[in-house]
Amino acid sequence: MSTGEWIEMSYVWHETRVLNCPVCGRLILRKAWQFDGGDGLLRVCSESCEELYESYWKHAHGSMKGQ
Amino acid sequence: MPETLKLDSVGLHVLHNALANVAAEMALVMMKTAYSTIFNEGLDFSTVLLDREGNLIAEKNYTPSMMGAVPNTVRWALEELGEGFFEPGDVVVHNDPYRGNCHMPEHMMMKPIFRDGELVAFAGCIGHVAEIGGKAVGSFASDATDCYQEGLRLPPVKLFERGRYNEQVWRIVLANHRTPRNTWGDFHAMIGALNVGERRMAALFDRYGRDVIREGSARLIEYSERRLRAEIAELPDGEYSAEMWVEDDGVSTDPFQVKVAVVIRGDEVIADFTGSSRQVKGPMNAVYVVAASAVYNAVFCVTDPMTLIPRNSGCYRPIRIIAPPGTVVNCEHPAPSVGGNTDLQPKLIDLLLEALAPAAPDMVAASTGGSSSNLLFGGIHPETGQFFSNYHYDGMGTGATLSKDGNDAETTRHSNCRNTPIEVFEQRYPLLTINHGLVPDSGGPGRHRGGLATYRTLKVTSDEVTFSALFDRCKIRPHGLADGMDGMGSEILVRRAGESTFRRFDEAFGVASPTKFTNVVLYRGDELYYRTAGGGGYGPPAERDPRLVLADVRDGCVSRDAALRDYGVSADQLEGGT
Repeated sequence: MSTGEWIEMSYVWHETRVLNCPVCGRLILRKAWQFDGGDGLLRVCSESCEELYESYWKHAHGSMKGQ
Repeated sequence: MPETLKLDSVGLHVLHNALANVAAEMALVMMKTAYSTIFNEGLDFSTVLLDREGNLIAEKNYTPSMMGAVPNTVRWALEELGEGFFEPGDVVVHNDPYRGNCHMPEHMMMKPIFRDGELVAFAGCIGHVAEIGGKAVGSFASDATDCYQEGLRLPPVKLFERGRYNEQVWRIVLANHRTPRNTWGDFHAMIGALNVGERRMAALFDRYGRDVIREGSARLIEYSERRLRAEIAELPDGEYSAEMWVEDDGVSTDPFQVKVAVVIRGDEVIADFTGSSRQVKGPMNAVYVVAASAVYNAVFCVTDPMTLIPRNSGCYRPIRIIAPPGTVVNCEHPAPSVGGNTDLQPKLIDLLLEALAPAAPDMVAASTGGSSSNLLFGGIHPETGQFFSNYHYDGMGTGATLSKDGNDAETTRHSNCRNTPIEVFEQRYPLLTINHGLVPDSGGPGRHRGGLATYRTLKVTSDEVTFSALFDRCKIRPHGLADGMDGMGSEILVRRAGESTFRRFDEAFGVASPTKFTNVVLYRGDELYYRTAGGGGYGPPAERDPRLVLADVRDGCVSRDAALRDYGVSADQLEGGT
């Protein structure tokens, strides 16, 4: 059961850089899914990325340090 | 009053065909009206239709390399800008590789479609614009070390605003491309395709009603997802891995590595590129959607090679990708990436298929030529006095499979593009084609032989032409599979006017890589020769039917020496015809 939540990211129209999801690599734009990854809070691109992290990523690569 | 369209299997089929035909008609408009040969001959573009949330509902996909961009680019632009940004008559363009495009030359244009003031869908067109400025003619700088050298980067901006030219944006774009007349024509071809898509979609919405189109599109997406999940579920669960080295990045001579673990669990696939090299200095980096395109391509190759499942967002849902940011499969700003799309992507597909070989041995192939053999050139045309520029590519060999030889002279697995016919080529550009053909012995020997590469020699017929090239598979050849042998590697050579022999570009001009160089000027009478790479062979060559070797020798595909050396078929056998 997910305990995460959507959080708004600060968006500045003149910022030219973008942010990528630390789990899957996709873009994170206006909002991020934040959850406790076991070693701190993680901000990822979507709720399903939490599921990917819990069901695969963590077992393959270990817990990701919170951001 | 809308017609009734019952959304049963027949009705959904009718709707799917209607949507697919709209996308196909958009593509025809694009092909028939574009100025540049890369579009009207090369077909380096795709046209798409999306629902109001940016989900892909139909496509005419000439270029599979764009598969990863299509489902993401519009959605991400929509998420970044918000639905309220889009108004009737708008056309939004963007080519930002860090925001979902494959590389800088790829421009995605999108047009919102409204009915009675409500946003109902998007029409989209993505294509490789042949000249977008930057340090190299043709915007393909093999030695670029950041994105600013690769051309003009556009975040999502409006080319048209409520049906009117956004002149400020056009002026910036045209002032930064070397061939603005072509950009003008090609952009308008893309916009023309969008306008046709808008009109046809509006007619569909009026004919069947908004609710039916919306519900039908959602059901088509669900259908495709269900079908693809069923195909994936047929594959044995497990983790399948492979790794490869890529010969250089155009700036350094050091190779770099890509690793992938493909996990099949039930009805979904995870492709995990963790462990791949950090992003490299030169332009061989892939962005996220390029890695995604490669994964989709490989998964579709083993699950639905005949494209029987309607290609829409549903096909992508069972496929999950892990492309760590900052690596060669998901580089971060400001890393250059033009060759990541053209030359890393085909090798990523090869790598993924190699990984999947144990799971689907009858559906995979040995390596392809694996390089788009990008040749760029430009200068002042002696007849027009105008600057010209062109992006040219030729076919290579594809990898052999368990059941057949590889194809000869085919563009890479991820592009499906066509080369430009010599008649058109010579009419447009001051280069004479001295010769062009298949390369004997370039297909990797095997029970099934790899496809043959091609060669071409060009002679400069104007005062000077500036060339850039980005070829790969020169030092690391396309590999064979299941004891098949490697295909022949690529090369690109130069012979200055008056010289008797051809030399490598690194020898002649001191560039870092023998096949990746930027802005080398050749003069009247100079000749440039190149050879693409052949495909890898499949299975031990000794197991090849000698009658097929004989046929290959007779056809000029395999030399007599190679027949003996690689296949053990002697001159006596060949002469006796046995």
